[in-house]
Amino acid sequence: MKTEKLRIKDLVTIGVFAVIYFVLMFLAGIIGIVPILYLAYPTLAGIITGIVIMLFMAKVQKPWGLFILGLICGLIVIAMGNTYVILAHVLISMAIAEFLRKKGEYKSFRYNMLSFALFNTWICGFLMQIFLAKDKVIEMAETRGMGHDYIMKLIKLVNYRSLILVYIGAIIGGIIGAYIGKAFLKKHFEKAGIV
Amino acid sequence: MSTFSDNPYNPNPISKIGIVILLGFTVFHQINIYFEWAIIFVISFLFYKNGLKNDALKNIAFFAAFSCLLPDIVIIRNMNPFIMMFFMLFIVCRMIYLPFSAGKFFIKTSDVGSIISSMDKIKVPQNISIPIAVMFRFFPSFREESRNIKRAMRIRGITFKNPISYIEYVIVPLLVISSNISDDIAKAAETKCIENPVKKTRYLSVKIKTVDFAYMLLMLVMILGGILW
Repeated sequence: MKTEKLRIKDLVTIGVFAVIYFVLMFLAGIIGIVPILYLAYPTLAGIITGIVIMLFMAKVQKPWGLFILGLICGLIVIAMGNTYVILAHVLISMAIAEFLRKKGEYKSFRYNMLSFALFNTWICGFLMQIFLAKDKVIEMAETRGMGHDYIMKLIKLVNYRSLILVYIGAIIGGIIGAYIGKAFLKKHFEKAGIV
Repeated sequence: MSTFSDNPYNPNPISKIGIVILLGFTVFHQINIYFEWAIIFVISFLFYKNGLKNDALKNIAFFAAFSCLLPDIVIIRNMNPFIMMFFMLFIVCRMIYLPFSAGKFFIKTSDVGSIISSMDKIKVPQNISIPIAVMFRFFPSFREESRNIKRAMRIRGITFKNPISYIEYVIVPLLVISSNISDDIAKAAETKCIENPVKKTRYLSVKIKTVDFAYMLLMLVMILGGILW
């Protein structure tokens, strides 16, 4: 009963929740317009989307459910014009998240929480692709005749340390989101008989 | 919608998504500016031939704005760092622009049926193709439901001024309704024998046309040429 294959009902649930997750994630993405705050984007997205993913995890307690949800998000992002880096990042994040869920047998809240925190790190892929293309940014800036101090400021903004901070932020946001999700599950969805 | 797939200048979704991924390489490797312009013009030409004249013009105009306005930053250099950070975003937009415009071409000119039947063609497993098909089916009703819920909440005096309660009162009904809809969709799909393990017949079939070869070949030549130049 515990580890059976995904049925049609679960696949449809994945599709529906992918839409909700994506819409909420983009709503959180409005913060990215303010220049420095986009480093906090993964944290905010984790806090907001925690409810959706925790409900999803409660509904689909089967292997590969979360993996497919994340993979579809990655594919959509690619279709809207991003690089292959984000797809690789999605695969790695989802594999770890799926492994953690398997360890908790898809039920235990602690492992689901950790799994969501790692699931949430895939959003860092957006920043990762900027980070990996840093050389090109510098080259482009030099050919356009921007001053040396300007380039230094750019490098200061995107370096290893802030990237690690972004990852930590994503994990913390995920944990907060998971707790909010748990509270909501108890307050609303269990009463309504959805889970 | 089906006018798109009849158009001889519309490549099939497989080659369009392939091009988006290929253009991802241009983000990490410096490409000659003339080749970049050539890529933009090819995409604009395809936009034009598919009847999206405004998008063709916008595509060129945005790229021109991004690549020609940047030198003016020299003047702004002495201003405060916050504005500079803003221009960092500008440069990022400029970098991502090539794959972004190819992705826009993919989204604007492919219809749902051809995307699904092309997923059949490259043998995407059912576990991935069914959720994607459901997403296309669910998105319009999701928009409608969320509009209704927002209106109902406005009547009760819950607006965005108090974000936390707003999120609670909008997201919870939305999730409840969505999970009911998802149960309905699953029942409907199962009564239509979606699990029947036979080869499915699609309303639209994907063909490989000359424009696919031309599009792929042109883009490959330009990306390789731009990197090696």
